[in-house]
Amino acid sequence: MESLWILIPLSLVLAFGIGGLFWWSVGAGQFDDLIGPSERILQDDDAVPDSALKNNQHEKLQHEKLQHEKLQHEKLQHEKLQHEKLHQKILQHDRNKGV
Amino acid sequence: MQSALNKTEQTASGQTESVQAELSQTYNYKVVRQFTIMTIVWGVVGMLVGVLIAAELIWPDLTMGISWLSYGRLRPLHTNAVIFAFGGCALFATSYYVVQRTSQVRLFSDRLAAFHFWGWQLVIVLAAITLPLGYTQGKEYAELEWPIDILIALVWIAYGVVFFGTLVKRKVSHIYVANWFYGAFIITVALLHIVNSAVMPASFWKSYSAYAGVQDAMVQWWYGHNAVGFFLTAAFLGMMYYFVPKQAERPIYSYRLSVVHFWSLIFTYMWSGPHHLHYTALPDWVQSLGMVFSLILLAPSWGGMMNGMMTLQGAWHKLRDDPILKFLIVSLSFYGMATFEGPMLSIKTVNGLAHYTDWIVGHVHAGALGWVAFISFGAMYYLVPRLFGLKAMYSIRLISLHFWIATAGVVLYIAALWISGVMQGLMWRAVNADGTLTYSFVESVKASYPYWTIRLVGGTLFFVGMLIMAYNVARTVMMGQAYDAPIPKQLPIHPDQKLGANLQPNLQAAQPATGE
Repeated sequence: MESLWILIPLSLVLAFGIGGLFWWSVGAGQFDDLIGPSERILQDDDAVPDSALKNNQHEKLQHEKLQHEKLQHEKLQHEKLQHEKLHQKILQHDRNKGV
Repeated sequence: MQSALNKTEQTASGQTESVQAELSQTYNYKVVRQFTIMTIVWGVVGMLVGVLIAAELIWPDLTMGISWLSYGRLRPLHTNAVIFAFGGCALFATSYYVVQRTSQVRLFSDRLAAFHFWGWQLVIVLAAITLPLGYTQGKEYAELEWPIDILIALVWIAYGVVFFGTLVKRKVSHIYVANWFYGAFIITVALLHIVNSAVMPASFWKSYSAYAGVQDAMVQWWYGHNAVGFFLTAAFLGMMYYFVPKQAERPIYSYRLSVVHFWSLIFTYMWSGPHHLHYTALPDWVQSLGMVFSLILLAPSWGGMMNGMMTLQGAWHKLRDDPILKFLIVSLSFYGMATFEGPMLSIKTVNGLAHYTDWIVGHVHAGALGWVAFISFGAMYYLVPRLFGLKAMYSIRLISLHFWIATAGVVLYIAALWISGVMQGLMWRAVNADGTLTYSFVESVKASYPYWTIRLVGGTLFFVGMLIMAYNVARTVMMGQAYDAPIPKQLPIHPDQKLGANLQPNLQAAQPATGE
């Protein structure tokens, strides 16, 4: 039971220490803005900029970008063709109907 | 301040001076890199030891009676390696990354950070040598003998100085919530370690606890459960609060909730230790106190889980194609599971069945594999490309493969031990009509065999996943080169200046040190 002589004072020191820390944080305005901080970390851009990529990485990235653009272009062309085909079909259908 | 000092230094070569000046304009990614690589290394080592000891339970003669390969000697090596070596390095890497980026300053002291890194590696190596040789204090998660305990304390002080020193010199006045979790973890672990490791040394590798009997048990499990609560939970929640929003590209669901559940979590966790000592010589009122606070703990824990999960609002579709996000979010579901299971196990009557059974081991690994390891994997996969000047990991498909194999492993592991745990508990308490025990202990061992085998399969799958990660990280590092990000001169400002009083960061240190 003797240990209580040190344990209780120690616990009080700890409790008041934590309480004091909480008091400081409220007073220092740590909790004034509860929206900004969550956005701010997203605005901190930690992505590796293109300039920092190793040479072969940079080229690889450029190559990938070009490939991707090419693919998008082909997709677009294909869609255009499909659209045109459908359009012709509709026109033909209308002609048959004598519209 | 550092760069000003370097500027006035008379250096022989102008190049060195400008390199120094340039250095202080970048974050210290070096120590982050070092800890990141060692996280992977110790992950492999720690999990390999785990697989080995699981195999030893199936085939006891596997290690041919070699004393330093025996189960009793290796089990603490496994626990120490996965918690302190793997988990520790993951926390140090991420906390140093997060505190720098959210404070927009370089670490308080590069030299102390380096001492932290090398000191911690020395602690692990000493553990790897002394534990198999049988030098142990016999206290769970605190087995290391007193000379190593002193080293840990010194390294920990260095860590605290660097981390809090960085916060003190921060350029953003608001301290992001992740840093609160990391900070609480650092302070509490220091307290726990120092109190629980108080011993009277008898020789260089032998000591006796300052406490005795049930008092020692209480101190041990006050330490043990708070090692779980602060080392394995609060600190990794800090990790979660940074890497989940960053990977999902969504803000934390409720920042207000993160603050509230932080304070309630750290207050409640401290009291839950007695739930390890139900139905022992520990006074009844202490047991009840531990049980009640463990039940209350469900609320703040789930607050954290919900907060992380709901961050994905509007971005759930990202889970389809992003295996890093899968790791991060699935870790939260295991966290929720384990923090429900824990309070349930803290109920005396439930504990009466589960204590000393495999259910407890299953519970530990649900938390350790499902929550701690998964969130670490996600954070490491996020970090590695950025630390090595790359846009992405060597192979996204290997991350996905890792995820599925690891998840299968965890599920097999947990399910097998749930069944064997409950079975053991029921067999041990079964009595015949005349009051004698129905089963001998060895019969319960025999009955556990199939489940230990399934557990071995689950653990091996998890280990294979770890190897896949090691390969992926190695290929990635080989592809890249060490990269230190520059500290941005323009601090990000929230677009909506009307909200809140503290949006304008501290602009004191915004003057570029090189005086451009």
